[in-house]
Amino acid sequence: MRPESRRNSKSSFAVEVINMSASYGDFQTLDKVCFNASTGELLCIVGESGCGKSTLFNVIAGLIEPYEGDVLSYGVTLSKKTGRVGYMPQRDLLLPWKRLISNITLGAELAGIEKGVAREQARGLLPMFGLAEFEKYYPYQMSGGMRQRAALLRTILTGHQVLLLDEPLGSLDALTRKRMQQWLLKIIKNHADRTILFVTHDVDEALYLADRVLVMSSRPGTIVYEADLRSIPQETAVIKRESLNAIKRQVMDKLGVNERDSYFRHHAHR
Amino acid sequence: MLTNDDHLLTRFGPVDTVEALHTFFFAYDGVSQVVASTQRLLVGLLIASLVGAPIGIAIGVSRPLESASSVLMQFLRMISPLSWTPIALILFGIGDTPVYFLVAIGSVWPIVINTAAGVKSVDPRWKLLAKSLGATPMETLISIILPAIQTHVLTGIRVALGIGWVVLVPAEMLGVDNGLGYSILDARDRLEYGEVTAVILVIGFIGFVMDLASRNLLSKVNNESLSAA
Repeated sequence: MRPESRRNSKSSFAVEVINMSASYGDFQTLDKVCFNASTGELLCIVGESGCGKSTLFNVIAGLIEPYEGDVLSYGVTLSKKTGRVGYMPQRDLLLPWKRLISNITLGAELAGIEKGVAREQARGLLPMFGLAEFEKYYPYQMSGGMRQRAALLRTILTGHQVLLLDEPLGSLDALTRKRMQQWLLKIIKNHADRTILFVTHDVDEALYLADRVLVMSSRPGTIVYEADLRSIPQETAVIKRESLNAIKRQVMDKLGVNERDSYFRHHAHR
Repeated sequence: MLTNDDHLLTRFGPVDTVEALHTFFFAYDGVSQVVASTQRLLVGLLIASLVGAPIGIAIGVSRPLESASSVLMQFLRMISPLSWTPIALILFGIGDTPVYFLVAIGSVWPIVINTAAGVKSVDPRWKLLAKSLGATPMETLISIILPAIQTHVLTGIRVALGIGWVVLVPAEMLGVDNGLGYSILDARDRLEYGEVTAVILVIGFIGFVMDLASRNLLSKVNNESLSAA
Protein backbone atom coordinates (compact mmCIF):
# COMPACT_ATOMS: atom_id res chain seq x y z
CA MET A 1 0.00 0.00 0.00
CA ARG A 2 1.18 3.50 -0.74
CA PRO A 3 2.33 5.77 2.08
CA GLU A 4 -0.23 7.37 4.30
CA SER A 5 -0.51 11.09 4.60
CA ARG A 6 2.64 12.58 6.03
CA ARG A 7 1.03 15.86 6.88
CA ASN A 8 -1.82 16.05 9.28
CA SER A 9 -2.71 19.68 9.81
CA LYS A 10 -5.69 20.73 7.73
CA SER A 11 -3.87 23.45 5.83
CA SER A 12 -1.27 21.05 4.52
CA PHE A 13 -3.40 18.88 2.31
CA ALA A 14 -1.87 18.46 -1.12
CA VAL A 15 -5.27 19.30 -2.54
CA GLU A 16 -8.11 20.85 -0.63
CA VAL A 17 -11.33 21.66 -2.46
CA ILE A 18 -13.57 23.77 -0.26
CA ASN A 19 -17.25 24.22 -1.12
CA MET A 20 -16.29 24.96 -4.68
CA SER A 21 -18.86 25.76 -7.37
CA ALA A 22 -18.00 26.54 -10.96
CA SER A 23 -19.65 26.86 -14.31
CA TYR A 24 -18.54 26.12 -17.82
CA GLY A 25 -20.15 28.37 -20.39
CA ASP A 26 -23.74 28.95 -19.32
CA PHE A 27 -24.03 25.78 -17.28
CA GLN A 28 -23.33 25.34 -13.63
CA THR A 29 -21.20 22.22 -13.72
CA LEU A 30 -19.95 21.95 -10.15
CA ASP A 31 -21.95 22.51 -7.00
CA LYS A 32 -20.23 22.92 -3.63
CA VAL A 33 -17.62 20.26 -4.26
CA CYS A 34 -15.74 19.40 -1.11
CA PHE A 35 -12.89 16.92 -0.67
CA ASN A 36 -9.21 16.76 0.08
CA ALA A 37 -6.20 14.65 -0.76
CA SER A 38 -3.13 14.04 1.38
CA THR A 39 0.39 13.84 0.06
CA GLY A 40 0.99 10.56 -1.73
CA GLU A 41 -2.66 9.63 -2.06
CA LEU A 42 -4.28 8.45 -5.27
CA LEU A 43 -7.86 9.61 -5.52
CA CYS A 44 -10.09 8.30 -8.26
CA ILE A 45 -13.05 10.45 -9.18
CA VAL A 46 -15.80 8.49 -10.87
CA GLY A 47 -18.79 9.97 -12.61
CA GLU A 48 -20.75 9.73 -15.79
CA SER A 49 -19.82 11.78 -18.85
CA GLY A 50 -20.56 15.47 -18.54
CA CYS A 51 -20.75 15.47 -14.73
CA GLY A 52 -18.11 18.16 -14.49
CA LYS A 53 -15.02 16.06 -13.85
CA SER A 54 -13.05 17.92 -16.48
CA THR A 55 -14.29 21.26 -15.15
CA LEU A 56 -13.08 20.20 -11.70
CA PHE A 57 -9.62 19.56 -13.13
CA ASN A 58 -9.66 22.80 -15.07
CA VAL A 59 -10.37 24.65 -11.82
CA ILE A 60 -7.57 22.86 -9.95
CA ALA A 61 -5.22 23.56 -12.88
CA GLY A 62 -6.14 27.25 -12.65
CA LEU A 63 -7.73 27.35 -16.10
CA ILE A 64 -11.26 28.10 -14.85
CA GLU A 65 -12.06 30.34 -11.92
CA PRO A 66 -14.67 29.02 -9.47
CA TYR A 67 -17.43 31.47 -8.58
CA GLU A 68 -17.72 30.10 -5.10
CA GLY A 69 -15.32 28.39 -2.71
CA ASP A 70 -11.65 27.75 -3.29
CA VAL A 71 -9.03 25.17 -4.17
CA LEU A 72 -5.88 25.07 -2.06
CA SER A 73 -2.62 23.19 -2.23
CA TYR A 74 -0.74 23.18 1.07
CA GLY A 75 -2.75 26.21 2.09
CA VAL A 76 -2.05 28.20 -1.08
CA THR A 77 -4.89 28.92 -3.50
CA LEU A 78 -4.64 27.36 -6.95
CA SER A 79 -7.42 29.26 -8.65
CA LYS A 80 -6.37 31.62 -11.44
CA LYS A 81 -2.82 30.32 -11.25
CA THR A 82 -1.63 27.99 -13.97
CA GLY A 83 1.52 25.92 -13.97
CA ARG A 84 1.21 24.80 -10.33
CA VAL A 85 0.03 21.25 -10.93
CA GLY A 86 0.78 18.62 -13.57
CA TYR A 87 -2.28 18.22 -15.77
CA MET A 88 -2.69 15.37 -18.21
CA PRO A 89 -5.72 16.06 -20.37
CA GLN A 90 -8.01 13.40 -21.83
CA ARG A 91 -6.23 13.23 -25.17
CA ASP A 92 -2.47 12.84 -25.18
CA LEU A 93 -2.10 16.19 -27.03
CA LEU A 94 1.45 15.43 -28.07
CA LEU A 95 2.61 18.13 -30.48
CA PRO A 96 2.93 16.52 -33.92
CA TRP A 97 5.92 18.62 -34.94
CA LYS A 98 8.01 17.67 -31.92
CA ARG A 99 9.96 14.46 -31.39
CA LEU A 100 9.17 12.42 -28.29
CA ILE A 101 12.02 13.89 -26.26
CA SER A 102 10.93 17.49 -26.97
CA ASN A 103 7.31 16.65 -26.32
CA ILE A 104 7.94 15.23 -22.88
CA THR A 105 10.20 18.11 -21.88
CA LEU A 106 7.70 20.75 -23.03
CA GLY A 107 6.77 21.62 -19.45
CA ALA A 108 10.41 22.02 -18.51
CA GLU A 109 11.03 24.11 -21.62
CA LEU A 110 8.15 26.43 -20.65
CA ALA A 111 9.42 26.60 -17.08
CA GLY A 112 12.73 27.89 -18.42
CA ILE A 113 14.78 24.85 -17.41
CA GLU A 114 17.85 24.42 -19.57
CA LYS A 115 17.24 22.00 -22.45
CA GLY A 116 20.20 19.72 -21.73
CA VAL A 117 19.31 19.34 -18.07
CA ALA A 118 15.64 18.65 -18.82
CA ARG A 119 16.49 16.07 -21.47
CA GLU A 120 18.99 14.30 -19.24
CA GLN A 121 16.35 13.96 -16.55
CA ALA A 122 13.79 12.77 -19.10
CA ARG A 123 16.15 10.18 -20.58
CA GLY A 124 16.59 8.64 -17.15
CA LEU A 125 12.87 7.90 -17.02
CA LEU A 126 12.35 6.70 -20.61
CA PRO A 127 13.12 3.00 -19.94
CA MET A 128 10.59 2.79 -17.10
CA PHE A 129 7.99 4.17 -19.49
CA GLY A 130 8.92 1.69 -22.20
CA LEU A 131 10.05 4.52 -24.45
CA ALA A 132 13.82 4.15 -24.31
CA GLU A 133 14.23 3.36 -28.01
CA PHE A 134 11.79 5.98 -29.23
CA GLU A 135 13.34 9.27 -28.14
CA LYS A 136 13.54 10.55 -31.73
CA TYR A 137 10.09 9.39 -32.83
CA TYR A 138 7.34 11.75 -33.87
CA PRO A 139 3.91 11.16 -32.27
CA TYR A 140 2.45 9.77 -35.51
CA GLN A 141 5.04 7.02 -35.43
CA MET A 142 3.94 5.87 -31.97
CA SER A 143 1.10 3.58 -30.86
CA GLY A 144 -1.79 4.80 -28.71
CA GLY A 145 -0.32 3.21 -25.59
CA MET A 146 3.09 4.77 -26.21
CA ARG A 147 1.52 8.17 -26.72
CA GLN A 148 -0.39 7.92 -23.44
CA ARG A 149 2.77 6.87 -21.61
CA ALA A 150 4.60 9.80 -23.18
CA ALA A 151 1.83 12.19 -22.10
CA LEU A 152 2.02 10.79 -18.56
CA LEU A 153 5.78 11.17 -18.55
CA ARG A 154 5.40 14.78 -19.71
CA THR A 155 3.04 15.35 -16.78
CA ILE A 156 5.39 13.72 -14.27
CA LEU A 157 8.37 15.68 -15.64
CA THR A 158 6.68 18.96 -14.78
CA GLY A 159 7.94 18.08 -11.31
CA HIS A 160 4.73 19.21 -9.67
CA GLN A 161 3.62 17.66 -6.43
CA VAL A 162 0.00 17.29 -7.56
CA LEU A 163 -0.85 15.41 -10.75
CA LEU A 164 -4.25 15.50 -12.42
CA LEU A 165 -4.92 12.64 -14.82
CA ASP A 166 -8.11 13.03 -16.84
CA GLU A 167 -9.15 9.60 -18.16
CA PRO A 168 -5.57 8.88 -19.18
CA LEU A 169 -6.44 5.39 -20.39
CA GLY A 170 -9.80 6.29 -21.90
CA SER A 171 -8.72 6.20 -25.53
CA LEU A 172 -7.00 2.80 -25.39
CA ASP A 173 -8.31 -0.58 -26.45
CA ALA A 174 -9.37 -2.94 -23.66
CA LEU A 175 -6.26 -5.10 -23.72
CA THR A 176 -3.76 -2.22 -23.77
CA ARG A 177 -5.83 -0.58 -21.08
CA LYS A 178 -5.53 -3.55 -18.71
CA ARG A 179 -1.80 -3.69 -19.28
CA MET A 180 -1.49 0.06 -18.74
CA GLN A 181 -3.42 -0.12 -15.47
CA GLN A 182 -0.95 -2.63 -14.05
CA TRP A 183 1.95 -0.59 -15.32
CA LEU A 184 0.45 2.61 -13.94
CA LEU A 185 0.31 1.14 -10.43
CA LYS A 186 4.03 0.41 -10.67
CA ILE A 187 4.79 3.93 -11.87
CA ILE A 188 2.70 5.43 -9.08
CA LYS A 189 4.58 3.39 -6.48
CA ASN A 190 7.82 4.82 -7.88
CA HIS A 191 6.49 8.33 -7.45
CA ALA A 192 4.90 7.81 -4.05
CA ASP A 193 5.55 11.43 -3.04
CA ARG A 194 3.16 12.69 -5.70
CA THR A 195 -0.50 13.20 -5.01
CA ILE A 196 -2.65 11.99 -7.88
CA LEU A 197 -6.21 12.82 -8.80
CA PHE A 198 -7.44 10.43 -11.44
CA VAL A 199 -10.70 10.85 -13.31
CA THR A 200 -12.34 7.83 -14.89
CA HIS A 201 -15.79 6.60 -15.77
CA ASP A 202 -14.64 3.01 -15.33
CA VAL A 203 -15.55 1.87 -11.80
CA ASP A 204 -13.37 -1.25 -11.99
CA GLU A 205 -10.40 0.87 -12.99
CA ALA A 206 -11.04 3.19 -10.05
CA LEU A 207 -11.30 0.31 -7.58
CA TYR A 208 -8.16 -1.23 -9.00
CA LEU A 209 -5.98 1.88 -8.84
CA ALA A 210 -7.25 4.13 -6.09
CA ASP A 211 -6.52 4.64 -2.43
CA ARG A 212 -9.85 6.41 -2.23
CA VAL A 213 -12.75 6.57 -4.65
CA LEU A 214 -14.99 9.62 -4.90
CA VAL A 215 -18.27 9.45 -6.77
CA MET A 216 -19.58 12.55 -8.49
CA SER A 217 -23.25 13.11 -9.19
CA SER A 218 -24.42 14.19 -12.61
CA ARG A 219 -24.46 17.91 -13.43
CA PRO A 220 -24.15 20.03 -11.46
CA GLY A 221 -21.54 17.66 -10.06
CA THR A 222 -20.90 17.22 -6.41
CA ILE A 223 -19.27 14.46 -4.35
CA VAL A 224 -21.99 12.04 -3.26
CA TYR A 225 -19.98 9.09 -2.03
CA GLU A 226 -16.50 8.36 -0.79
CA ALA A 227 -14.85 5.01 -0.10
CA ASP A 228 -11.41 4.38 1.39
CA LEU A 229 -10.06 1.25 -0.21
CA ARG A 230 -7.11 1.09 2.16
CA SER A 231 -9.43 0.33 5.03
CA ILE A 232 -11.02 -2.76 3.53
CA PRO A 233 -10.30 -5.95 5.43
CA GLN A 234 -7.45 -7.97 3.91
CA GLU A 235 -7.64 -11.14 6.01
CA THR A 236 -8.55 -13.49 3.20
CA ALA A 237 -9.08 -13.15 -0.50
CA VAL A 238 -12.77 -13.92 -0.04
CA ILE A 239 -13.28 -11.21 2.57
CA LYS A 240 -11.37 -8.74 0.40
CA ARG A 241 -13.47 -9.60 -2.62
CA GLU A 242 -16.68 -9.27 -0.68
CA SER A 243 -15.67 -5.88 0.70
CA LEU A 244 -14.71 -4.63 -2.76
CA ASN A 245 -17.96 -6.02 -4.07
CA ALA A 246 -19.89 -4.08 -1.46
CA ILE A 247 -18.03 -0.86 -2.32
CA LYS A 248 -18.62 -1.40 -6.00
CA ARG A 249 -22.34 -1.88 -5.39
CA GLN A 250 -22.40 1.36 -3.44
CA VAL A 251 -20.52 3.22 -6.17
CA MET A 252 -22.75 1.81 -8.90
CA ASP A 253 -25.81 2.64 -6.86
CA LYS A 254 -24.67 6.25 -6.45
CA LEU A 255 -24.03 6.42 -10.19
CA GLY A 256 -27.55 5.17 -10.76
CA VAL A 257 -26.38 1.92 -12.33
CA ASN A 258 -27.33 -1.47 -11.01
CA GLU A 259 -25.43 -4.27 -12.56
CA ARG A 260 -23.01 -6.81 -11.34
CA ASP A 261 -19.74 -7.03 -13.09
CA SER A 262 -16.86 -9.43 -12.95
CA TYR A 263 -14.23 -7.18 -11.49
CA PHE A 264 -12.98 -10.02 -9.27
CA ARG A 265 -10.55 -11.15 -11.92
CA HIS A 266 -8.30 -8.17 -11.81
CA HIS A 267 -8.68 -7.75 -8.08
CA ALA A 268 -7.56 -11.26 -7.32
CA HIS A 269 -3.96 -10.03 -7.13
CA ARG A 270 -4.65 -6.68 -5.51
CA MET B 1 -2.82 35.21 -91.87
CA LEU B 2 -0.14 32.98 -90.38
CA THR B 3 0.65 31.46 -93.74
CA ASN B 4 1.98 34.78 -94.89
CA ASP B 5 5.74 34.45 -94.36
CA ASP B 6 6.20 38.17 -93.96
CA HIS B 7 3.65 38.59 -91.21
CA LEU B 8 4.99 40.07 -87.99
CA LEU B 9 3.68 37.15 -85.91
CA THR B 10 5.97 34.69 -87.68
CA ARG B 11 8.87 36.47 -86.08
CA PHE B 12 7.68 35.14 -82.70
CA GLY B 13 7.95 31.60 -84.05
CA PRO B 14 10.06 28.69 -82.72
CA VAL B 15 13.02 28.91 -85.09
CA ASP B 16 13.68 32.54 -84.27
CA THR B 17 13.06 31.81 -80.63
CA VAL B 18 15.73 29.13 -80.24
CA GLU B 19 18.20 31.44 -81.86
CA ALA B 20 16.98 34.33 -79.74
CA LEU B 21 17.36 32.30 -76.53
CA HIS B 22 21.02 31.94 -77.46
CA THR B 23 21.30 35.67 -78.16
CA PHE B 24 19.47 36.55 -74.94
CA PHE B 25 21.75 34.46 -72.76
CA PHE B 26 25.02 35.23 -74.50
CA ALA B 27 24.74 38.66 -76.07
CA TYR B 28 22.46 40.27 -73.52
CA ASP B 29 23.72 38.47 -70.44
CA GLY B 30 20.43 36.67 -69.78
CA VAL B 31 21.74 35.11 -66.58
CA SER B 32 22.18 38.46 -64.91
CA GLN B 33 18.69 39.50 -66.06
CA VAL B 34 17.31 36.35 -64.42
CA VAL B 35 19.35 37.02 -61.28
CA ALA B 36 18.13 40.63 -61.12
CA SER B 37 14.49 39.57 -61.44
CA THR B 38 14.80 36.72 -58.95
CA GLN B 39 16.48 38.99 -56.47
CA ARG B 40 13.65 41.56 -56.78
CA LEU B 41 11.09 38.80 -56.36
CA LEU B 42 12.79 37.49 -53.24
CA VAL B 43 13.14 40.94 -51.67
CA GLY B 44 9.47 41.67 -52.43
CA LEU B 45 8.43 38.32 -50.97
CA LEU B 46 10.58 38.84 -47.91
CA ILE B 47 8.90 42.19 -47.28
CA ALA B 48 5.47 40.61 -47.87
CA SER B 49 6.29 37.81 -45.40
CA LEU B 50 7.71 40.10 -42.74
CA VAL B 51 4.65 42.34 -42.95
CA GLY B 52 2.03 39.71 -43.78
CA ALA B 53 2.80 36.96 -41.26
CA PRO B 54 2.62 39.20 -38.14
CA ILE B 55 -0.59 40.84 -39.44
CA GLY B 56 -2.01 37.35 -40.10
CA ILE B 57 -1.07 36.21 -36.59
CA ALA B 58 -2.66 39.30 -35.04
CA ILE B 59 -5.85 38.79 -37.06
CA GLY B 60 -5.94 35.09 -36.20
CA VAL B 61 -5.45 35.72 -32.48
CA SER B 62 -7.83 38.64 -32.05
CA ARG B 63 -11.46 38.27 -33.02
CA PRO B 64 -12.20 42.04 -32.84
CA LEU B 65 -9.26 42.73 -35.14
CA GLU B 66 -10.49 40.06 -37.51
CA SER B 67 -13.95 41.59 -37.83
CA ALA B 68 -12.51 45.09 -38.04
CA SER B 69 -10.07 44.21 -40.79
CA SER B 70 -12.01 41.76 -42.94
CA VAL B 71 -13.78 44.34 -45.14
CA LEU B 72 -10.64 46.42 -45.59
CA MET B 73 -8.63 43.29 -46.40
CA GLN B 74 -11.02 42.05 -49.07
CA PHE B 75 -11.17 45.57 -50.51
CA LEU B 76 -7.39 45.98 -50.74
CA ARG B 77 -6.88 42.44 -51.98
CA MET B 78 -9.10 43.04 -55.00
CA ILE B 79 -7.08 46.01 -56.22
CA SER B 80 -4.68 45.03 -58.97
CA PRO B 81 -1.16 45.54 -57.57
CA LEU B 82 -0.21 47.48 -60.70
CA SER B 83 -2.83 50.13 -59.88
CA TRP B 84 -0.44 51.22 -57.16
CA THR B 85 2.24 52.05 -59.73
CA PRO B 86 1.77 55.86 -59.80
CA ILE B 87 1.71 55.98 -56.00
CA ALA B 88 4.75 53.69 -55.84
CA LEU B 89 6.68 55.96 -58.21
CA ILE B 90 5.76 59.08 -56.25
CA LEU B 91 6.64 57.45 -52.95
CA PHE B 92 9.83 55.65 -53.93
CA GLY B 93 11.01 57.29 -57.16
CA ILE B 94 12.60 55.32 -59.97
CA GLY B 95 14.64 52.18 -59.33
CA ASP B 96 14.28 48.87 -57.52
CA THR B 97 12.24 50.12 -54.56
CA PRO B 98 8.90 50.64 -56.35
CA VAL B 99 9.29 47.14 -57.86
CA TYR B 100 9.81 45.66 -54.38
CA PHE B 101 6.74 47.58 -53.25
CA LEU B 102 4.54 46.34 -56.11
CA VAL B 103 5.63 42.73 -55.66
CA ALA B 104 5.11 42.99 -51.90
CA ILE B 105 1.69 44.59 -52.08
CA GLY B 106 0.54 41.99 -54.60
CA SER B 107 1.80 38.99 -52.69
CA VAL B 108 1.12 40.03 -49.10
CA TRP B 109 -2.56 38.99 -49.09
CA PRO B 110 -2.28 35.23 -49.43
CA ILE B 111 0.31 35.30 -46.64
CA VAL B 112 -1.97 37.32 -44.35
CA ILE B 113 -5.01 35.19 -45.12
CA ASN B 114 -3.26 31.83 -44.81
CA THR B 115 -1.48 32.80 -41.62
CA ALA B 116 -4.72 34.02 -40.02
CA ALA B 117 -6.50 30.83 -41.08
CA GLY B 118 -3.61 28.80 -39.67
CA VAL B 119 -3.75 30.53 -36.30
CA LYS B 120 -7.49 30.00 -36.10
CA SER B 121 -7.15 26.32 -36.88
CA VAL B 122 -4.65 25.63 -34.07
CA ASP B 123 -6.19 23.00 -31.80
CA PRO B 124 -7.47 24.97 -28.77
CA ARG B 125 -6.55 22.02 -26.55
CA TRP B 126 -2.88 22.56 -27.40
CA LYS B 127 -3.21 26.13 -26.18
CA LEU B 128 -4.95 24.90 -23.04
CA LEU B 129 -2.17 22.38 -22.50
CA ALA B 130 0.47 25.10 -22.78
CA LYS B 131 -1.52 27.26 -20.40
CA SER B 132 -1.86 24.43 -17.89
CA LEU B 133 1.92 24.03 -18.07
CA GLY B 134 2.17 27.66 -17.01
CA ALA B 135 2.95 29.20 -20.41
CA THR B 136 2.43 32.94 -20.84
CA PRO B 137 0.59 34.08 -24.01
CA MET B 138 3.96 34.92 -25.58
CA GLU B 139 5.36 31.46 -24.74
CA THR B 140 2.22 29.86 -26.17
CA LEU B 141 2.77 31.85 -29.34
CA ILE B 142 6.38 30.72 -29.64
CA SER B 143 6.03 27.10 -28.52
CA ILE B 144 2.62 26.21 -29.92
CA ILE B 145 1.16 28.66 -32.42
CA LEU B 146 4.22 29.46 -34.55
CA PRO B 147 5.25 25.83 -35.14
CA ALA B 148 1.63 24.79 -35.65
CA ILE B 149 1.01 27.34 -38.42
CA GLN B 150 4.24 26.63 -40.28
CA THR B 151 2.50 24.77 -43.13
CA HIS B 152 -0.18 27.42 -43.47
CA VAL B 153 2.40 30.20 -43.72
CA LEU B 154 4.47 28.25 -46.23
CA THR B 155 1.36 27.60 -48.33
CA GLY B 156 0.64 31.34 -48.22
CA ILE B 157 4.20 32.11 -49.31
CA ARG B 158 3.90 29.58 -52.14
CA VAL B 159 0.76 31.27 -53.46
CA ALA B 160 2.46 34.65 -52.93
CA LEU B 161 5.43 33.47 -54.96
CA GLY B 162 3.19 32.88 -57.96
CA ILE B 163 1.48 36.24 -57.64
CA GLY B 164 4.78 38.02 -57.03
CA TRP B 165 6.33 36.52 -60.16
CA VAL B 166 3.32 37.57 -62.25
CA VAL B 167 3.43 41.12 -60.85
CA LEU B 168 7.20 41.39 -61.18
CA VAL B 169 7.38 41.34 -64.99
CA PRO B 170 5.12 44.36 -65.67
CA ALA B 171 6.61 46.11 -62.63
CA GLU B 172 10.03 45.77 -64.24
CA MET B 173 8.72 47.57 -67.28
CA LEU B 174 8.81 50.83 -65.32
CA GLY B 175 11.94 52.62 -64.35
CA VAL B 176 14.50 49.80 -64.10
CA ASP B 177 17.17 48.96 -66.62
CA ASN B 178 17.57 45.23 -66.17
CA GLY B 179 15.53 42.15 -65.34
CA LEU B 180 13.18 39.99 -67.41
CA GLY B 181 10.36 42.54 -67.66
CA TYR B 182 12.82 45.13 -68.89
CA SER B 183 14.29 42.62 -71.36
CA ILE B 184 10.90 42.14 -73.01
CA LEU B 185 10.49 45.87 -73.57
CA ASP B 186 14.10 46.19 -74.67
CA ALA B 187 13.75 43.36 -77.21
CA ARG B 188 10.55 44.91 -78.54
CA ASP B 189 12.25 48.26 -78.93
CA ARG B 190 15.05 46.58 -80.86
CA LEU B 191 12.38 44.87 -82.99
CA GLU B 192 13.82 41.50 -81.89
CA TYR B 193 10.49 39.72 -81.62
CA GLY B 194 12.03 36.28 -81.35
CA GLU B 195 13.80 37.48 -78.25
CA VAL B 196 10.47 38.60 -76.77
CA THR B 197 9.22 35.02 -77.07
CA ALA B 198 12.50 33.74 -75.69
CA VAL B 199 12.16 35.88 -72.57
CA ILE B 200 8.51 34.85 -72.17
CA LEU B 201 9.64 31.21 -72.23
CA VAL B 202 12.34 31.93 -69.66
CA ILE B 203 9.76 33.64 -67.40
CA GLY B 204 7.38 30.69 -67.65
CA PHE B 205 10.13 28.17 -67.10
CA ILE B 206 11.53 29.91 -64.01
CA GLY B 207 8.02 30.35 -62.56
CA PHE B 208 7.35 26.66 -63.11
CA VAL B 209 10.62 25.60 -61.50
CA MET B 210 10.08 27.88 -58.49
CA ASP B 211 6.58 26.55 -57.94
CA LEU B 212 7.79 22.97 -58.23
CA ALA B 213 10.59 23.65 -55.75
CA SER B 214 8.28 25.35 -53.26
CA ARG B 215 5.74 22.54 -53.58
CA ASN B 216 8.43 19.96 -52.86
CA LEU B 217 9.69 21.94 -49.92
CA LEU B 218 6.15 22.20 -48.57
CA SER B 219 5.40 18.51 -48.86
CA LYS B 220 8.77 17.75 -47.27
CA VAL B 221 7.89 19.92 -44.28
CA ASN B 222 4.47 18.24 -44.10
CA ASN B 223 5.84 14.73 -44.24
CA GLU B 224 8.52 15.43 -41.74
CA SER B 225 6.45 16.59 -38.86
CA LEU B 226 2.77 17.01 -39.46
CA SER B 227 1.67 13.65 -40.77
CA ALA B 228 -0.52 13.06 -37.74
CA ALA B 229 -1.97 16.53 -37.44
